[in-house]
Order: sequence, then C-alpha cells, then structure tokens
Amino acid sequence: MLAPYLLSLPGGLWLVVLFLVPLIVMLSLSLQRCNPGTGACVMTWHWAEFSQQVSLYHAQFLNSFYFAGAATLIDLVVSFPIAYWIAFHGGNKKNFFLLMLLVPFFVSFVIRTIVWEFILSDHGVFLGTLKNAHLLPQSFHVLATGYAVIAGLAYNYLPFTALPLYVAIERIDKRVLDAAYDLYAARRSAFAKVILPLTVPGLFAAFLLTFIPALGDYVNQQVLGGTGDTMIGSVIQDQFLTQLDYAGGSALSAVLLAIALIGIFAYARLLGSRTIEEYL
Amino acid sequence: MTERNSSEPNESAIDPSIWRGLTQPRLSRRQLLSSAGAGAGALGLAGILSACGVKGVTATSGKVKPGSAGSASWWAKQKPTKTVNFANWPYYIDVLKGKHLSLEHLAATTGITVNYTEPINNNIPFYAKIRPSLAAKQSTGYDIIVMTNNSPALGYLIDFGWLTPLDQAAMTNFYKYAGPLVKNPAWDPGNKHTMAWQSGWTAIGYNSSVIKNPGTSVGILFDRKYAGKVGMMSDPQELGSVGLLAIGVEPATSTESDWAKAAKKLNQQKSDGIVRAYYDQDYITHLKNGDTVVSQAWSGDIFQADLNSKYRDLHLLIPSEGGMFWTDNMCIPMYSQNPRSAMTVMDYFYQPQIEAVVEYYNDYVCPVPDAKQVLLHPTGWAKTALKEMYPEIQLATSVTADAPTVFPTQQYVKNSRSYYQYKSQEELTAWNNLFVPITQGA
Amino acid sequence: MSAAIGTVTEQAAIRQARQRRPASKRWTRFLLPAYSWLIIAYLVLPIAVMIMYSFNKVTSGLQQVSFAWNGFTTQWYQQWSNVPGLTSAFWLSIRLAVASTLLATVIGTLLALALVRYRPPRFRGKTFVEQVIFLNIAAPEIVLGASLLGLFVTISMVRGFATLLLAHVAFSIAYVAITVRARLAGFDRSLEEAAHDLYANAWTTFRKITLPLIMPGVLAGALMAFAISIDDFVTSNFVSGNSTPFPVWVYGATRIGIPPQVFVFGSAIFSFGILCAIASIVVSRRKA
Repeated sequence: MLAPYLLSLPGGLWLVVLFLVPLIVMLSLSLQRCNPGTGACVMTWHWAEFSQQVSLYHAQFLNSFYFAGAATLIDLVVSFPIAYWIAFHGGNKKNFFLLMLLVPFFVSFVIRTIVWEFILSDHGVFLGTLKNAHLLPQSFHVLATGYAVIAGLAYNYLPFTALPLYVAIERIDKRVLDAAYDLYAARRSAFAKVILPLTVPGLFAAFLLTFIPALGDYVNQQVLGGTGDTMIGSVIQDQFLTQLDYAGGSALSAVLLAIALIGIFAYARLLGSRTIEEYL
Repeated sequence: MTERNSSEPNESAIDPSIWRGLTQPRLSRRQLLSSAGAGAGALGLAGILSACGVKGVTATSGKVKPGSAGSASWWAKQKPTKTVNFANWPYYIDVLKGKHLSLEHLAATTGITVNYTEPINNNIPFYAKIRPSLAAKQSTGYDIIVMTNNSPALGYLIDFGWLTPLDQAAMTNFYKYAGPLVKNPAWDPGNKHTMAWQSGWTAIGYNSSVIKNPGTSVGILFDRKYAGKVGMMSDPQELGSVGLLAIGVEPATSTESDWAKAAKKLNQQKSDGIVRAYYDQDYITHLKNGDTVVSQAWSGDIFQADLNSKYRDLHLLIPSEGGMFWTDNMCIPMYSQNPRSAMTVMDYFYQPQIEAVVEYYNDYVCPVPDAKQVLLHPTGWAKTALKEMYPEIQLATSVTADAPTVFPTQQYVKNSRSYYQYKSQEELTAWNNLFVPITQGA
Repeated sequence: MSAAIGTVTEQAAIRQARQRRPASKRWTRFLLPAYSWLIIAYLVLPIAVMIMYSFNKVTSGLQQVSFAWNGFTTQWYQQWSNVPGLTSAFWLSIRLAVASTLLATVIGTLLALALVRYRPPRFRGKTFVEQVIFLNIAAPEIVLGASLLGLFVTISMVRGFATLLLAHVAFSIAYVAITVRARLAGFDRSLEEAAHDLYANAWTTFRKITLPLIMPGVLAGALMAFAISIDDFVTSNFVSGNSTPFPVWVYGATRIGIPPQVFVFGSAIFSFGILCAIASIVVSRRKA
C-alpha cells in the first residue's frame, strides 16, 4: 500500500530539499539587496531587480540565445543521420555505438574545451598548416570569435541531441517503412513523407534538451571566445563568485529558468505534455 | 587598501552608518500586511520568501580591545605549534621538482612544517570562500593567506576585523630588513595586519619581434595598428587604472568624472575591435603563442617568460604614464589555529638569505633589498640552494640581482603609481559599475 | 488473358520494387556508416589529442603543457604525483564521485522502481515526481549551481566536501532514475509473483529475484552517475568553497598553464570509464 511512497521517499525528499527549495531561495534572493563585502542580504521585495538585471545584460541574453541556438541547429543536422543509422542499421551493435557517442563524457568537459582551444589555435596544428600552405591569411583566427564558441558548444552538447533523436527514431515501427516501399514510394519520399514527420516530436525534444542547457553554458565562451561574446552564464557566475552580488545573480538565474520553463511548456502545449519526458 | 588617516589609524574608512543602513532589516511588506490583517494565504508565500535572509556582518571600529585576539596579552598566551597552513597564489614560491627549498630550510631550523597550498587565483572569489567561516567565527583552515592591496577583499578583511593583528614584537626580521616600499604602506599603516610577500607592476608586455618600436606610452594598448591583437585584463581595478593612465590621470587622485572618461575610452577601444579578449592570469599564454602581440602584463610573468629561449622576444614596458604598483600581502585570518607559528613563518621570509632564494624563482619585486647582495655573493645555505636551482632556472643569480624589476631603481620607483583607495562601498560599486560591463559586456 | 497480363504486370511490379531496395545499400552500406564513423572520430578527437599530449616532452621552464610536439616521454606517468594541489584535487573528485555514485544509485533505483511499477491513483504524485525529474535534467546547470549556492549561503552552511556531495547526489538522482527506468521497462513481474507464491517475503524477493535481474540497468545508472560526477564543473565551482575538485582545479590552472599531469589524470579517468563501459556491455550480453 505504502510501497510507491516509501520507494520514492528518499529520492523525492532529496530532490525537494536540494532542488526545489533552492529554486525558491533563489527567487527570494532575487528580491533582496545584498552587500558584497559583508555578505548581508536584506529582503526588500525589490521586484525591480528582474527588469534592472535584464536591461543591464539583455545583450548577453541575446548572445546566449544566438550561440546556443546555432549550436543546437548544427547538432540537430549533424546528429540526425547518425541517430538514424544507429536506430535502423545498428543491429546488435547498437549499445556499442551509443556508448561511442557518450565516450567524450568520460573526460572532464573543461579538459575537452581546453584541447579544442589548442586544436583551433592561431598557429596550431590545424590552422598553422593551412597558413603555411598559404591557403589562409596570416591574420585569420577562429579563437576569440563567436564561431569558436559555437563550435565548442556544438561539440560539447552533441550527445544531448543525438541520444533523444536516437530514442525517437528507434521508436518508429520499421514496418511503416516497408509499407511505404510496398506502396511504390521512392526512397526520398519515403524518408520525407513517412520517417521525418514521425520524428518531429523527437526533433523538438532534442532541440529543447540541447538548447536549454547550452543557454546557461559559459565555459566554452570563456575559453574559446573573445570580447563581445559574453553569454549570460558568464555574468551569473561573475556575480555570484566575483562581484558577490547574490541578488543580481539570482535574479538573472531566475529569468534564465523562466525562459527554459516557457520553452518546455510551449512544447507541452504543442505536442502533448507527457511526450518530452519519454525522450530522456 | 582602504584609506586611513595617519592621525587616526583605527578609524574604519567605510562609514559605519553605511553598514548599519545596509545590514539592519527594514520594515518588510510582510510586517505591513500582518499589521493590516491581510489574508493568511498572502502571508504564506510572503512569509516563505522573506524568511530567506542572509545574516551579514557589521564593521568593527578596528580598535583592538585588550585581551581580544591580536592584543599584546593575547599574543603572550599563544604557543608555537608544529604546522602552519599557508595559502598562496600559484607559482609564487621557489619550487624545485615539487619541493620548496625555503620551506625545507624552515622545517630544519624551526621545526615548523608548512602545509603550503595554492588555492588563490583571484582575490574576491577566495575571500568569498573564507568569508562564511569568518562570519561564523570559525577557523578558515588557513593560518597565512596572501591578498593583494588593490582588491576590495583586503579592505573588507581589515574593516570587519577578520585579520588577526600582527605581533609587532615578533617582527624582528621585518623591521630590520623590509624595504621602504613595503614598510608602513598606505593600505596598512604601521603594518598592523599585513607583511608584504611580493610586489609587482601591472604594465605592458609586448612581443619585440613583431613590435620593433613600442615607444614609451600606454597608448600602445590603444593603437589601431594592433587591432585584434591586444590583450587587456578583466580585473576591474586593473582595467580602470590603465584607462585612467591612458587619459593622463593619476589613479590615486582620480575622481568619479575621471572614471567615466576612462570608461568611455575603454569602451571605444573595445568597439574599435582593438581588444582580442579580457584575460585573467592567462594573458601570458596568449602573449606566448602569438594570439596577442601587446598586452597588460605583470612584471614577474614577463621576466619568467624571458628566461625561456622560446619567449625571449617578450619584453616589459613600463610606460611614461606609469606602471601600477601592487603588493601581495601575507596576513593571518582570524580564528587561526596556529597564529604564533604563522608569525614565525612570516618573519622568517624577511631574512635576506631566504628571500634571495625565493626571488631567484619569483622575479617579482623583492620586499627585502638586502637580498640583492646575497644573490650577487651567495653564502651559506643560500649558496647551496641557489646552486641546486640553477639547472632548472638556467640564469646567473647576478641577472636576478641586477634586474630593476626585482630590485627597483629610483627611476622605476618614480614610475610607480598607486591604485585608487575607495572611501566607501558606494565608490567601489560606482567604479565596478563602470568597468565590469566592459569586460562582461556583449 | 487479363489474368495472364495481370500476373505479368504483378510480377514486373514486384521485380521493380525489389530492384528499388538494392539502391538503398549505397546509403546504408557506405555513406551513412562512413558519416557516423566520422562523427565518432570527431567526438573522440580531443580525447585522442589529450592522451597523445600526456606523453609529450616539455621544454625547459615551467612544467606546463606545451602544445608543440617535443618528443615522446613517459615521465609524466612516472611523476604523476608531482603537483600536490592537482593530486589532492584528483583524489577528492574520486572520493566525491564514489560517494555520490553509491548514494545516487541506491536512491535513484528506488525511485525508478516506484515510477515503473505504480500508477496513479495508487501512486499519487507520480506525475509531480516525473516532472521534477525532468526539470532537473532539462534546467541549465548554472541555475542548479547558483540556486544551491544561494541555499547554502542563506543557511550559512560552509561550503566544502559536504555541500559538494549534497549537490552531486542531487543532480545525479534524476539521471540514475531515468537510466534505470528505461532498463526496467521490459521487466517481467511474473517472476516476482512466482517468488511470492513460493512464500518468499518482500526483502528476499528483492534480493534474490529482482536485484539480479535489474542489475545491468542499475550498473548503467551507476556508470552514468560516476561519469557526470567526475566531469561536473559548473555546479562544483559554485558550491566547492575551500575544497577543490579536479575539474575546478584544471579550470583554475588554465588561467596560468596546465601541468602535463592533468592529461595523465584525464587519460586515467577516461580509460577507467571505457573499461567500465565495456565491462557493462559484456555483462549485459552474458545475461541476455
């Protein structure tokens, strides 16, 4: 009788205390005024904090949207063929291929990003050789531009896109494809008219599951980017750890979370509330 | 770094009324509502949200009450202990294949083992890490920490009474050997709380193979010739100060309108695409691999880079407008477990013999001028230690001794500029509001 | 006659349909696999570079990673403990990952069991739990880290190993739960019922029947929890306080220059992870 509640008690309690409660605290901190030196925060119901922070840093929000969006689109395009191939033609080696997709996670993401900084460096292995062969001008550089940030984000978040896509494509009943062929469908139209529409919910899920985490990323930009690329995650981190402005940082964090929630609810409205959870 | 009048050394520079206003609770909406008899439902959420407050700290007057930590009677009761936990910045002490010769000698002569760690990469984030323990009146786990004078963090620590006042009687080596630049400094008159570890300049580093004629002005950082290849520092104190130098203003005596003009110049520099990026300590990596050809730089880093044949082209330029002179200071946080031994360790480093060995590795500005003689004519333990380190450093000790960036000449002292001392939290906030968006800006 | 013509056209149609299929082999045999392997190579590239440069010599001066190839050496593997701060950061991360994995796996598995077996109205609040899990995974990590720091600051809890552990378990539970839940989907309850019929009590049933059967899924969840704990930077950076986990140390070191030992440790963690993953595949193959 009590079984489900007892089983879910430890997990539920941990998540409530260390996930939901901090979110409420974050909302509360947003409304306070904090003193960087003493660390004192006083509740002043400062609702204007949200609009103040957003107006100060709206450019960084836009940067985050742009970089995360571009990286996610790239990831979607890049992951779809591989997800399709593993799902339809992976056979009994599916687990192995999925594992290969997850392999980068075994190395710290800071190290991965640093190595990308090296690979993309102005006179490094890749660009240096091209420059020596006079295929590129000497002043050409990828690092310290927005492109490097997008490349880094796309790399680090690829598994976040590929795995939900794989789940989505794997669910498609292969017999549907056979039926299409039986009805004289050419390969291209079978793909475009049968497979693709069936993967649309999966595409949206993969988009959300990549875009939202990438929105809050800042390490890629700090290691690979230059001036004018700052993402909102960088500002939040700076406020919490360097400026010691807990109120401002919490307000920005709350706005970021609100954006994420809007995306999720939009998905739920359009495509049904339960489906996105199935793609995890 | 907070301003102090020499006549009233104990007055807190940050007005107590400011602290009071910021730390005492105001009448919250909850209290208003409850007195007006508002509905319980509205109180519920309001109650939850307003229950989350963060206790803060009020500034002390700076006076040391007799019997309290740091007073003479308190120091008399402190016993020596066997261990000292020393937190410092990275690459700031002599190291040879993972060993620290100066610390080994310390253990041999005094029996104190130093647990030396390098957790400090940035003043304020480190301050943020130790503040909770200090506010809770608990040990931070460190007995000696090193804070820079140009950072608000040192000011906060002093103002809130979170640094143990030093035992002046135990500072024999210090008072005998400390140089004029670090004795009785502006940010800590009478060396009540700090003893300098090293000093340095924030000036300009440039690649001489690319820039043949750097000139003598700080304007080289703003030169369009090097657009996209200029490195600037992300620290708002460093960035703002160089901006002030660039518009011909002395940072120490600047006003808020000067700051606005400096910010305008820096914003212009950014929008003109001159800056490649705003760096922390990693500016040196980018100078080394050619991403930047000229950058704001710390004197010791350039010196160390120069030692490596691959980076011999990197040179330091202290512009005619001046180089910002900063000092990293050893201090003892409150509630330390080993204060007596910490004093011994701090004073130990003021022996010329010891500083010579440390300086041979560090190449920053030495707080002990007599170490120069030791480097020129090493004797005793220093001679053995320097000889042991030679294969790794590959530099004659006389080079270190003669370097004006290590033992400053009059000319270099003349070119040194001090940072601005904030008189209140508001001033600091105003400064940061001008310069932080430049580095964090999109 | 119409019947004959019908048969002929029918057979021609079948032949045509069959002929259409082989054309697809160009895609499935060559292009798609080649593309997929290319992507996998791209994913693995930085790791290969890291492993390669852990064997790189360093020119004189500071012992930092040099990105030019200077020659092969195994000295960094021999001197792996030469950077004291790094070594202690590494062990801290290992201890943290092990502790966090143990806790998160147990808690997450229990949660997964609850989610798979029971439905509303028997399990009221199931939807809520699922949504919380989803939100935990989908939310940007910086929000998780910043909110946890806000909580610890508010209750004046000193940040250190304890806060790190609390945070790591908090974000691992959801991943373990969904991984185990996915593997539990095909679990056959009739085996448990049979055990019950044979007078086994709930604990014995769990220990002797359920647990061995779900073990592959639980191991997969544990592996997931270990990987995300040892890899985590953003949340750890916020709540680590005085302690320094491995990724936080590395990030701090990038500001000055990374010692080659970083790559040694990175390669070690990577190899360990690969071994575990291969082991888990082998184990699950045997059980299948």
